[in-house]
Amino acid sequence: MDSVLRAAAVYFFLLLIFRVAGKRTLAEVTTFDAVLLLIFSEAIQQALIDGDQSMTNAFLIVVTLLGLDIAISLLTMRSSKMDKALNDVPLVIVQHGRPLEDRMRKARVTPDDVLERGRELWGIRAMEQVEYAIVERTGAISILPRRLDWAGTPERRSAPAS
Amino acid sequence: MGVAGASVEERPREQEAGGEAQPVTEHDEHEHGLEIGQDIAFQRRMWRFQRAGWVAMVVVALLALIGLFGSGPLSRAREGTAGTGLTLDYARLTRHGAPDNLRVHLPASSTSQGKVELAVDREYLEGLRLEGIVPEPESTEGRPDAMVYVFQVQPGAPTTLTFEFTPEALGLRAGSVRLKGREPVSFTQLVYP
Repeated sequence: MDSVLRAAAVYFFLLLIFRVAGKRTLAEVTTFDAVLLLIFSEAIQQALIDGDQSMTNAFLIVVTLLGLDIAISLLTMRSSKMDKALNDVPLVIVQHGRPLEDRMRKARVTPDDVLERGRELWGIRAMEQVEYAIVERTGAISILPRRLDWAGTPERRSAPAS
Repeated sequence: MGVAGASVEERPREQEAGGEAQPVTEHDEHEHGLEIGQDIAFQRRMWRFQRAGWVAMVVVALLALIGLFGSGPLSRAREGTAGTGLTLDYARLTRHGAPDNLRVHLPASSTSQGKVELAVDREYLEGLRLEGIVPEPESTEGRPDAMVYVFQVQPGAPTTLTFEFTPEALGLRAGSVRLKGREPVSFTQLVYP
């Protein structure tokens, strides 16, 4: 009985704490973040097993955690309210090349983050070349470049349209 | 050349007239064929919730520093009057499975006979794993309602008896200790999971 209750308590605590921390917190895992995650797991592990080294305990914990995860995913599929609450919503932070500063600040994204992502994905040089930048529900930034032709980067389409 | 993207923008900008401050609505984004489930009202609620959560984290850390969750200045307490012949130093707030102790301070007047008989509430003892008693008792006697420990002490000198243990039961735990022929000292302990 203990194993299930402990696993459930840990699951919901982590769910809450990571929602509070925000989706950007671990969106891009740096070396230090990886170290932090290891420390979290060490700290939680003791409370999770509580000195019970049996296989039964380990199995019960895994079953409980996975079961909760599946239950939550079923719940979020049925209710869009739950889906938003647990998985967050996407957010447009750049529109027609113009950064929406208030949103960026609140979402803890800097213009540099957007440009970095733009360079990686599309070879974008400046903010003007970004049609939309969106903070996805995972915390990753996706970039929609301005009117890109199939031949290459936005920079190459220099011929006027009309 | 470098800013080519800016110069070839042919689509009129709807926002331009409104200036920077104009809020972007969901409708606005759908107009441009951006099919995402953006929900600004929800997003703002979520941000508020997160800000509140950050404050709560700081508050929890500060409360933990002063000992609200055990092992801090706020978590220890003392109990005992002249009639009981001892002062009890115990953890008011403690945690399941964390090392804890109970100290019984005896003034010189309580040790004059060189032998001390201390009874500890049995029900309280059942909620913990006793790991050691310092000094070791000379004898232990189990009674229905209490365990009675007899200690050899230096006559006429103040001393301290320490019970080392880890709490196993959760929640509010009441206990009491009493010296032979004196009034008992009662105390309550909150054990966090």
